Amino acid sequence: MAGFKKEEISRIWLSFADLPPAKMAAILDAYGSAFAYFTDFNQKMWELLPIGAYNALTRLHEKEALVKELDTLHALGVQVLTEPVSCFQDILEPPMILYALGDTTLLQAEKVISIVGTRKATAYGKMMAQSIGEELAKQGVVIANGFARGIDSAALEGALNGGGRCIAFMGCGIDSIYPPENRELYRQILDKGGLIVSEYPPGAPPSGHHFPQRNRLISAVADGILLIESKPDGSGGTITVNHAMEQGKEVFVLPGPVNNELYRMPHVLIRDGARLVTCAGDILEDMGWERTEEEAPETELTQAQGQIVNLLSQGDASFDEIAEACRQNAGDLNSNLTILEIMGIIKKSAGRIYMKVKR
Amino acid sequence: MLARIPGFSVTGVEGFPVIVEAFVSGGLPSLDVVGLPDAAVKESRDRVRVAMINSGFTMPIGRVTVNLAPADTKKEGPAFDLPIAIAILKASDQIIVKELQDVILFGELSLDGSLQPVKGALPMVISAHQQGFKGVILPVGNAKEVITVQGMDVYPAENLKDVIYHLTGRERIAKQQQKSYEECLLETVFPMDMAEVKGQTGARRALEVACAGGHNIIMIGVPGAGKTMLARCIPSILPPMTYEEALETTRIHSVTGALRNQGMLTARPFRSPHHSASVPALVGGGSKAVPGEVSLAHNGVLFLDEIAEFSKAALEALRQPLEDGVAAVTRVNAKSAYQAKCMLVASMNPCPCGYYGSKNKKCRCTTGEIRRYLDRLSGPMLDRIDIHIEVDSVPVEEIRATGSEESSKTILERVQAARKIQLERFKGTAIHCNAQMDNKLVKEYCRLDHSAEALLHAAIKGQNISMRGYTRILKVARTIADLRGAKEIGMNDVAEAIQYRSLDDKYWRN
Repeated sequence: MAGFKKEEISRIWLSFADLPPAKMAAILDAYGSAFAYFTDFNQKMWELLPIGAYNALTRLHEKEALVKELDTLHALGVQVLTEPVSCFQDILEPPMILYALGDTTLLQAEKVISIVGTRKATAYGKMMAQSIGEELAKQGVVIANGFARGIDSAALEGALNGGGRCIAFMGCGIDSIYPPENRELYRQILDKGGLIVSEYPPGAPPSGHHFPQRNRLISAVADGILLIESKPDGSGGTITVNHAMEQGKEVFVLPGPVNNELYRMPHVLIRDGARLVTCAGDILEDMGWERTEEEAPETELTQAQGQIVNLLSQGDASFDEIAEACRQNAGDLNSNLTILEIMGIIKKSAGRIYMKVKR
Repeated sequence: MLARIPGFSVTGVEGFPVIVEAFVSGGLPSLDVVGLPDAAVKESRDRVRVAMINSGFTMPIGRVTVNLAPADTKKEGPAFDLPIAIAILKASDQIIVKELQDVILFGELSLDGSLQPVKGALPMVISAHQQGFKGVILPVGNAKEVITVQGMDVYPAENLKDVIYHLTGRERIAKQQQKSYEECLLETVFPMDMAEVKGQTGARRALEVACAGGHNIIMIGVPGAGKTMLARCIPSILPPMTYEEALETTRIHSVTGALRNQGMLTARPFRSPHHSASVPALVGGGSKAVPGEVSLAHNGVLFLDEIAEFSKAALEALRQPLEDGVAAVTRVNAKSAYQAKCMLVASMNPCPCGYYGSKNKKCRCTTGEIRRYLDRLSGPMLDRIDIHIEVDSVPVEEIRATGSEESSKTILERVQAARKIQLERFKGTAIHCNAQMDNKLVKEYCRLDHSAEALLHAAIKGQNISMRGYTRILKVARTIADLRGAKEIGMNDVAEAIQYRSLDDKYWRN
């Protein structure tokens, strides 16, 4: 049990019970410390605990089994945080324990924005998440979220592109990568000095109830949260926004087409007083953060390229539509589109539909 | 009396001579065929007997022995019916054959004495010609197939009686007027023309580039986008086959019997096997090692519609023939290598439900599902496809518009000009188009100037282009430059080529 204090070990032990945060808080309150609970733990406890939690705790109450788990932690190089972290101190149900990989000082970072949203995002939503993530990262803002598919992944990817650092709150153990297609993203976050963090012990599966729980941390760590697209009711995005409002954080919302149900909730929030955001600059301004202007390299566009950009600023268009409207032959249009894409002015999405990125 | 009649048979796509011998001796009436005949040859005993009777002759009373020499090679098919009948008639002194110098015979007999076309007529006639035969008597149904073979007298016969009248000198069959290949080319009709494809500016251009450089291409699009229609137009914008190519292709089609009553193939073949096709159906096989779809598409287009639905084994089996241009089929009893140089054209939906990226319909697939769907195409398979293009459905107004699109003929002119440059470039090597360049040749012929190089590197950094994508881009850029008639690859050529790497794009992955 080298390297761990008694209280730490007790909390690790307790975290395997996978209890709701409120229940854990209640236990700590009643016993004063996790260690006290550990010492006091006996067969009569089964009446007070869910059967799964009771079984897990009983199994790990044996020294051998517990040592094995600790060895795993050690082998994975996991940092265990049991001391209260400043940003989580004031929230309703602060985490009893955090497992982390990477730079834990990020939790105290000066500027943190959480960018969250739906998993089934539109191409527009993902593009905006990525570009705002990138711009904010360039200004030294740390981007945090739940590492989910869709908006979350796009924002993290953007932040990494912008040379920024990220915090990912996992809904499973930090050693498992969920969703699995984000393996590369996971690796990059760590490579680029980011942080992967979770309340759940290594090996914990991505159970459904973990995700809403970790949302309170996503909002707590941030100075403000940006919601991009969200299903109308009970979605993760909405939960995070509610936490943010309870915790007194700034809420930013990206507007979108009113006929898309993914924007119903965001628009309601705007009407209720959330800040409407169209670019990273809006967030910086509202937060009162200084902005280091990066002189954008003047890009010279040819007439044909300018024509394409003008067309796309009126809305997305497919290749054939652009060819029709701009009267360019397919060969030239192909090369112009590539050049604009590389300049980062436009972006291609599924179905060969092009959209404008920069305003 | 002993009779000897020259016949012919096929193994693989080559013909070989078979001497049909017949002898009538005393004994109980019987008819035996020896010389490794297969079931169809054995059955010819009955067909020959009845056909002879119905043509006004009799079966000799006595013991008839027919031998197919050489006796150590397997003979198959009903093509020996005709020589067997003639040999028996001659052996039994019912006819006196006058006109059978350097002439071969083949054909299947019906019970009424009429002649039916057989498989492999073209290879047989070509081989016969090479071996010094001067003429051939064959069923009418096979006559058109051999119309371009020069230096052979072709006598198309309707029935057994015609053949006998001809051989005995009573009434000669009119020789078929042979045609030059050029004449046949003029008669080529393509089932589809690019002028019929409305809209699809991007896809049309991609197909033009693909045809100009012989690049394999995959079209990704929603159901009903017109992928199949576009693919069917491809033969019409590929340069016409040379005589040698046409012979190779027609031979393969001939041995599978796919040619019945059809002439020489002048249009490049377009094969579209269904996605339930088995491995032997695609690459060739069966106990007799017959050619598969990839060989039938030799010098033409192999279209794999819904490529993701093909079985993994079938796709993997296609890799080697696509790479080498030869499909080797080995069975216990037969071994053949069929040529299989074809352009691979594939199509697939972007996702299981089919509507990912569609403007009109919402896709209901998860990212994982889309990824798994695309992953059905293995990396090595994708590696053989230079051009990926997304095809969008055309709005109804546009389909109904009367304005005409560019016809295949105009596109073909540009394609041919580009091909000419390539033939010049690869003179003296075994390859003839840009798609076939190996890494060494790519290095030699696909040099980039500074600006193009910088652009490509920026693209590789920004997008998800792999190193193997890099070579593909260079090859395609070379073709685009050839289409312009330019010597050097310019920045715009590279920029356009980058657009043809759709499947490398990030949006498929998250």
